[in-house]
Amino acid sequence: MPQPSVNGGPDHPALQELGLSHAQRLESVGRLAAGIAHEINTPIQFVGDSLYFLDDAFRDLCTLLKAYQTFRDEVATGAGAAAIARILEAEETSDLAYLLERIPVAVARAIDGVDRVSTIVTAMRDFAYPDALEPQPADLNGALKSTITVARGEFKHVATVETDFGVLPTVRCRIGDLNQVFLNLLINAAHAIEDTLRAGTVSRPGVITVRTRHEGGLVMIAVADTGAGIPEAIRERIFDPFFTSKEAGRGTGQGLAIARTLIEEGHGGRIWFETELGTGTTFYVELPVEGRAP
Amino acid sequence: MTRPRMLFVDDEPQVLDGLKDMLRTKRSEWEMDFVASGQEALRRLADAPYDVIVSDLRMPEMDGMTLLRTVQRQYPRTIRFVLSGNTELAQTLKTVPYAHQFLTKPCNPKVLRTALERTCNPPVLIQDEAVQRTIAGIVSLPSVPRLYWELSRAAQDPKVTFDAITAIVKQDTAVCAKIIHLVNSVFFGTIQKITDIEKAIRYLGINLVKNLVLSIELFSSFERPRRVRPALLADLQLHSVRVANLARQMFPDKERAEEAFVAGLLHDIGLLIQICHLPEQYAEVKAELTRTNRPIHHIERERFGFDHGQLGAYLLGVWGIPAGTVDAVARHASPMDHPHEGFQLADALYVSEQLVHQQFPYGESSFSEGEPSLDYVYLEGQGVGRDVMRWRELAKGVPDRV
Repeated sequence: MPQPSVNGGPDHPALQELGLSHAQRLESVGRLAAGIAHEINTPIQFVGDSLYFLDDAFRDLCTLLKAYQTFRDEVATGAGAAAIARILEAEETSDLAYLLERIPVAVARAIDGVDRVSTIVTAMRDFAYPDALEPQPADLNGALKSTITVARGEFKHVATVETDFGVLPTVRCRIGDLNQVFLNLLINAAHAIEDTLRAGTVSRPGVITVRTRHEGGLVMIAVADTGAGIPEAIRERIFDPFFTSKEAGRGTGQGLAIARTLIEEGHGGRIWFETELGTGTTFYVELPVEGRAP
Repeated sequence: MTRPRMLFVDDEPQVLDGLKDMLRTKRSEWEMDFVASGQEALRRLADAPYDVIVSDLRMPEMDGMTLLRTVQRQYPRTIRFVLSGNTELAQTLKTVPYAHQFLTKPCNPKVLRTALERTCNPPVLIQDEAVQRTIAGIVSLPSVPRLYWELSRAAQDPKVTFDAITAIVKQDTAVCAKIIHLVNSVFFGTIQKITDIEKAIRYLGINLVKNLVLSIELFSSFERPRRVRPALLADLQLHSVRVANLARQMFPDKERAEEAFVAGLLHDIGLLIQICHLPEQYAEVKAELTRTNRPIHHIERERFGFDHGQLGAYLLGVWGIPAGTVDAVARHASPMDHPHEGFQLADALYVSEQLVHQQFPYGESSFSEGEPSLDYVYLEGQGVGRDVMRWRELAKGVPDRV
């Protein structure tokens, strides 16, 4: 079985490491594409429906407005009960009560839809942003937010995500690589919860909690799930390359191995987990604010 | 008069709200309910039946496929639509057996409205709503054939390549063989023999290939009840092919000829539904046919209030087949009941069918639609009185393969 070698390969270690994670990042964007398309198609559907309704509504309102202009002229020349009856009928025909109630809702809905699409598109851009060779200062809370947004299609039917972000300084890092790590942790958490749903041990969607903290020269990111926990027998092996407990097609077995390489060797940080059967698992990532010591 | 009842299911409340506003002008015609989950949909269905259900696919807890499969089993008379933003073909394909029509998000509001309108008020001439209800009530309509659906979906994409179309068609070797055969038949007048499926598709065009696939899949997708002899279905198919081949020769215009060809292949699908899904009803009709030899559509209308043309048209309408074809199929037994100008598609089906029956009575299974007859006065009025003799000659040598 081939082992992903990070050090000792024929190429410069740093370059190879970059290539490896970049390839995986592209692969995961591909995997996420279906979920992202779904997340975009949905708001586009209701934005389109809302605009269709508004177009239609405006036409009805124009007809009514003309009726009011006629009415105004009739009033000027001493309108009687008949004119009032006519204008009331025109209001009825134009569905005025419905329109007055629903137009603001439709406008808000269209705005919401456009906001959702732009949030996703912006997050995708942030997520897939290619790293410079040298680490750069980055906003980790922002990066986590983007990663959660692009991965939403993967977890939203099994779990809600709660964030508890502390105040963080900018961290010197390769943010693209870290996004990859965050994505892997989020998807693992979603799969752990999905497994409990499939097994029928729980019936309600679970919770993924993402926390960040800053202490001294370190920042800590924790991703906790409400899944079944990691069985003792495999705890030792979960960071091994190509080790996976998932069925084919759901995981390559490289996610955590790559995460560890990127965190420990790429950033001089640490990655570990705490797990309890029946309660869930929390993965911790700790990074030096100033980046890997030279 | 009861209003058609529709149930919309989507886990995204904004989508439901958008649909509700978009369909506001239909409020007086349709009774529409909007629910956020499969479970809620099933609760509503248990309270009172719906005519149409429109469901999303990706939903938490109960997904759309599970919902539609349950509806198919428990409420087979409800017409099932998918409205999904899912882009994974493999996943969508799994739902094909459970849905009558597929719409993808984002779906143009007009397309959605039209699809719903056509399902509730088929463009076929079933003026009597009670009849429409009866048809909807007696039979659980089969879902749209898979290959046809895949092709329609692909053909909607303006950037679709011939490679993609070819790949879809290649899944079914029987279909490939028929396409190759068709392209080399006299009708298309190809000079060199075309043996390559991709070239054949290029030559025939996506539309014709799509319709051809539909007609092939039709006959294979209906399950023959044990007591029905295979020869009966074979005779019905042969009859349909002959009518198609004759009808297309009645229009000089290539596009109309193709349309006539497809309508010919589909014109007796109502009989197919009767034979396979309503065998008792068909047995009654058959017994009376044997006794009296009256035209089949008279017998059907007396007994059930509608004929097999209308029955077939209803299914084609539910499948989203173009209105012109559906309309012609609905009227083909007696187009003179609905006066119109000139020689139309329904007229071509009528003449072709009668001439084919005259030329090829019975067949191995003694398949019959009653004594064939042609109303010459009517055809004179449609301006084709002089053509009938020529068509009768053509009928003698009409090809019995597509």
